[in-house]
Amino acid sequence: MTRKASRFSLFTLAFLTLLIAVSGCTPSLSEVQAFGNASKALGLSARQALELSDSSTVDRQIYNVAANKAVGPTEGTFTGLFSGHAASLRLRLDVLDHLTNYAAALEALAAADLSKDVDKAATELKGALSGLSASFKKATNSGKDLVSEGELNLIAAAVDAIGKGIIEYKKREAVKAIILQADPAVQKASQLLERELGKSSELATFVTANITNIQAQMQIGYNDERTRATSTFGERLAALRRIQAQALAAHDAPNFFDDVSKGAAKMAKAHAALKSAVQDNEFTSPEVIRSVNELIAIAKSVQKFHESLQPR
Amino acid sequence: MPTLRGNISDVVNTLQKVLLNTTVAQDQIELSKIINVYFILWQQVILDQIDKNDPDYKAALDELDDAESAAKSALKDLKKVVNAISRATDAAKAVDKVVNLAVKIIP
Repeated sequence: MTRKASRFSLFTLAFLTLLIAVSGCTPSLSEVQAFGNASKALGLSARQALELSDSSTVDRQIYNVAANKAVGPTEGTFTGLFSGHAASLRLRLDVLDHLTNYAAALEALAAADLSKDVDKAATELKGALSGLSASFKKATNSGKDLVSEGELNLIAAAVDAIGKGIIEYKKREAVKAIILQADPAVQKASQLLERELGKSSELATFVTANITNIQAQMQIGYNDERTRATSTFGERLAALRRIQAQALAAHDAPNFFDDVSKGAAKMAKAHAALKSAVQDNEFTSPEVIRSVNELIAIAKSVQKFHESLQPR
Repeated sequence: MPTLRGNISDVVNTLQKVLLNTTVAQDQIELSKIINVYFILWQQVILDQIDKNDPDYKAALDELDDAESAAKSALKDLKKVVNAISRATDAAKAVDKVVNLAVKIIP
């Protein structure tokens, strides 16, 4: 009995030691997931920033018609900046979408625990990087691919190596290969967004002017209405609150673009930190944690700003 | 280095400040009209590749500078709004020569 108990204890001890050793040697992919999640959120906000140049144009035109009794709406009243031949803006949206898809697929791969999830994420990763490369080439008129066919094949090979059964080690190897191969593309695409969506960028200036013009049209409408015999205190107060909110939106608009631009820089920095970590077979480091946390914070701030810019 | 986009943006921003500060109905209407013309021109220069060596380009930049100065004066003294609109109209015509949009300059 004593001998049996002792053998049991030894077995338990050995098992526990093995378990501790295995968990200790298994770097977590949680920072990779956090990076993917925050980058995805930031990408969506950046898309909203680009789309604001279109929607705020239509809003301005509508408010102008509403504020001037002498004119009525035409087809042009509802036509935004993207209509017609704004191909350069559309190409930037494509770059952004592929970058966002990359972040989402990387997050999905890091979180996958079923073979079919890995296959799906891997297909999306290859598609996102291939799309990112093609759209960046078009948007910048550069003749060179961001990610070559050879690099895409390396990623595919790394993901194929995972096989059908999920083995954490192999999944990490695939994530590592992907981060290493994708980094130059992520850096260049992020730089493009950082540069073109800054506080003083053309789009930021144009959107801010649109929002300010809407405020002016609201004021014209207010001045027209306030002298009417039917005008009430409650209506005037409510209208003034809406104008105040619009003035705040005009004030926030450059900050929104500033944050999107800074967010793109943080995304590049966090990806570079991940690259540096995976080169040492780690999936986290103090720098990764710091830069991913900065990315998460700015992604939240950007979302908050965007909500304040919505039409009232 | 001044650009058409930058100078248009400066004129629009200053005219909009004037618009936000005036309560004279006729001034508001006229200012809104000319600002709308500028938005149309601005959209065009965002979308177009413009030849900066075109002599009309330099002339448009100078006109826009004058228009911005007139708008700044109007911001200090709202009695000068009519002059600001007139200068802004001249500058819009000069920009239109560069972008060839043939915008109908209203006032």
